[in-house]
Amino acid sequence: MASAGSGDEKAAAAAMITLISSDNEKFEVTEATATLSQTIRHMIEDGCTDGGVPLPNVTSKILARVIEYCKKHATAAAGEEGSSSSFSDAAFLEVDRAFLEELEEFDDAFLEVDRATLFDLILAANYLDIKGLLNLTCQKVADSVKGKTPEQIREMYNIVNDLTPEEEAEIRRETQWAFE
Amino acid sequence: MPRRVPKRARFCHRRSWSDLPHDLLGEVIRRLPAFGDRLRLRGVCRQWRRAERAHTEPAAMPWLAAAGHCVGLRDAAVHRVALPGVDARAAAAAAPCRGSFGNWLALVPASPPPCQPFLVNPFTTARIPLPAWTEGTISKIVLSAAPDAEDCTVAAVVCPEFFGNGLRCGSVVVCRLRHGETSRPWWCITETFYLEDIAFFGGNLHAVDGQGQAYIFEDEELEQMRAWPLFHRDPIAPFSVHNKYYLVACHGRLLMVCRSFGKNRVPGDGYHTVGFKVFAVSEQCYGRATPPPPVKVKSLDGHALFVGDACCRAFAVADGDSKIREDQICYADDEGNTMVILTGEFTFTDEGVGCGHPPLRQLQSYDLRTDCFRRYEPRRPTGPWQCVWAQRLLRRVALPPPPATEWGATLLLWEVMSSLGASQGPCYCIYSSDRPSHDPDIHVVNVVVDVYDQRWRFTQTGTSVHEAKHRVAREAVSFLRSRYHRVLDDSQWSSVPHYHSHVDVEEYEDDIEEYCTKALEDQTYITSFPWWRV
Repeated sequence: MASAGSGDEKAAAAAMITLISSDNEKFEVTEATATLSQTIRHMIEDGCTDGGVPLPNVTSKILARVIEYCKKHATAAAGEEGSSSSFSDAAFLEVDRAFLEELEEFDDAFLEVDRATLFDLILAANYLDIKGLLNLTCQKVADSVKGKTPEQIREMYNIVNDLTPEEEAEIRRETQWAFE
Repeated sequence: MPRRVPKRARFCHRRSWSDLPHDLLGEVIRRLPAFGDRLRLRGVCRQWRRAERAHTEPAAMPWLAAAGHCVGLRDAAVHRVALPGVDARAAAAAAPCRGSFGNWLALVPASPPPCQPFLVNPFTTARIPLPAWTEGTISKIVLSAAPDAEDCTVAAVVCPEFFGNGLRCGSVVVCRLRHGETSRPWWCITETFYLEDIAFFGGNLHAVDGQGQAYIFEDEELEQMRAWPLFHRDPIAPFSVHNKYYLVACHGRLLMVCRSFGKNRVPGDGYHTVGFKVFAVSEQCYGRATPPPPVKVKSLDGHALFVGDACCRAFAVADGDSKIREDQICYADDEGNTMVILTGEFTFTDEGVGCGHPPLRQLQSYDLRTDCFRRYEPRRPTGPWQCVWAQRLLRRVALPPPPATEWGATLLLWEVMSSLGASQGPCYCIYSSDRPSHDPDIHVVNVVVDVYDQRWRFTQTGTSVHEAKHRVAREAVSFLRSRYHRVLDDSQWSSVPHYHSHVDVEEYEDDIEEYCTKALEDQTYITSFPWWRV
């Protein structure tokens, strides 16, 4: 329901939202795409999207990627809805599986980014409150640290070791086995 | 009209991964099911260390902890460990652990009576004393809730001295904690009987006796039971020393696990666990003179169980890479039958100073679906832990060690068959080329292989008997590896490729089902002869 002043559902789906990145780049997206972000959904519900939605925490480079993600997942969601009414169960399952596979492939390819971009994507997903994207990116980080030593993790994520020797000794005492 | 902003403006400041907000790092930590992975994050940097320590949600794959050891269930490995909270560790060494809840351990000092049991949280080193107990020894403690919560019931199994520890006799005593404090002593609710295990489930106290009969004590009645005559069972009811019963709450069900002990077929293993059966305890099981036959459980709904004397617990297997998989029961035969507690993150065995128990050197698992036992230990003293054997049906006569004449492929065939629980070695049959039409240089060797009551025959030729024999053995190994690849996948034979043109993956499952039914329930062995001519 939601949208600023459009009663008709079709019109609502076609309504365009303008997103403005921190470096003042403007992105036109459909409302269906934009509302994957809970933050933007609330803004639309409050009717404060006229003249564009400023997103001071997201750069254009990251915003472009986030929009790419949202577009894909919004289409998938729309496709699923459409198929449920027009296909038989078997066909629906088939279509469903094809969609899921395609989405999975897309997600995998989407995550092929450098660590800095991944970091910004997590922050953006959190700021924009996009559950799927946050899940995807955090899972990626979790998978990458599984079974790694702190040294390997530091190297992988370019983290400076700011622990004092005393703290390190304490950690080693606490978790000696975890470093084996 | 888009207005371009100079690119420089984007690099206002460069942020580092160590500045990842705590709640987001928490999201990452939540997705690490293994406790070890979480703890390693502590060593990365200060921010991450703080975030990890602040994260309260327990890992799905817990650790078992013995004094000086930690057992990771995900990687099926025992790690040497210095636990956080040195005091608690010292206490654990002197006082065997008899139970746990969350991060709390219930320790019972091994001093002569009166014995002063207490609860301790090794992470915060907080302590809660329990009332003193004067008669007999406390062998198990269970808690209805975290002891620092508003209200909590503590129940304990007390063994009278004169029965000794071997005879698993006991009575149940209860006390209450309010805001982590207790004012009144323990009170007894049962007479001494063949009590195997107690557990809190659904707010009520449950118990199981030596015949696998379950009892329930309603929480609100516990208080009134002070005034009632003691719950009475015949203390000399028959029970089997070969079986031990455990109660485990798992995914909304109370399960009764029957662990059978026997002579293990593995050389040098002695008297060890030879089987498990799992039953669901239902409402109908209680208060009947003749309880209905227990319902056997074949699946644990994505969970695995750990069973030990001081604590049993189910944990969700949230991770596809975990070595302990769903529907498996994990146990440690060399815990010396004096285990264990388990918490959200930790379990302690009571392997303490002066208890005389050797440290944990191995870990075992039993798969409920395939009936397969696995043993995990390090190949080298400091090497990584791995599955050193996978074997089924430990009840049967073992294959003797391979004869000295076997080597190379024939030795491998012998070992693989032994892993699969065969009771007869491969039988080679050499045909001499006595018919004139045959080339005298071609030798034919047959091998007959009996595994799981199935018999296969393979034939190969070679320019010498020796060559033919090795070729046929290779053929048989490749076949067995493919046919039983699920059993052999994490055994020491996993490096043998599992491809064989005659094996269909589907065949395996039918095989197992059929065989388990036959061998375990009827104890009759019907031999079928699918002859393979290769």
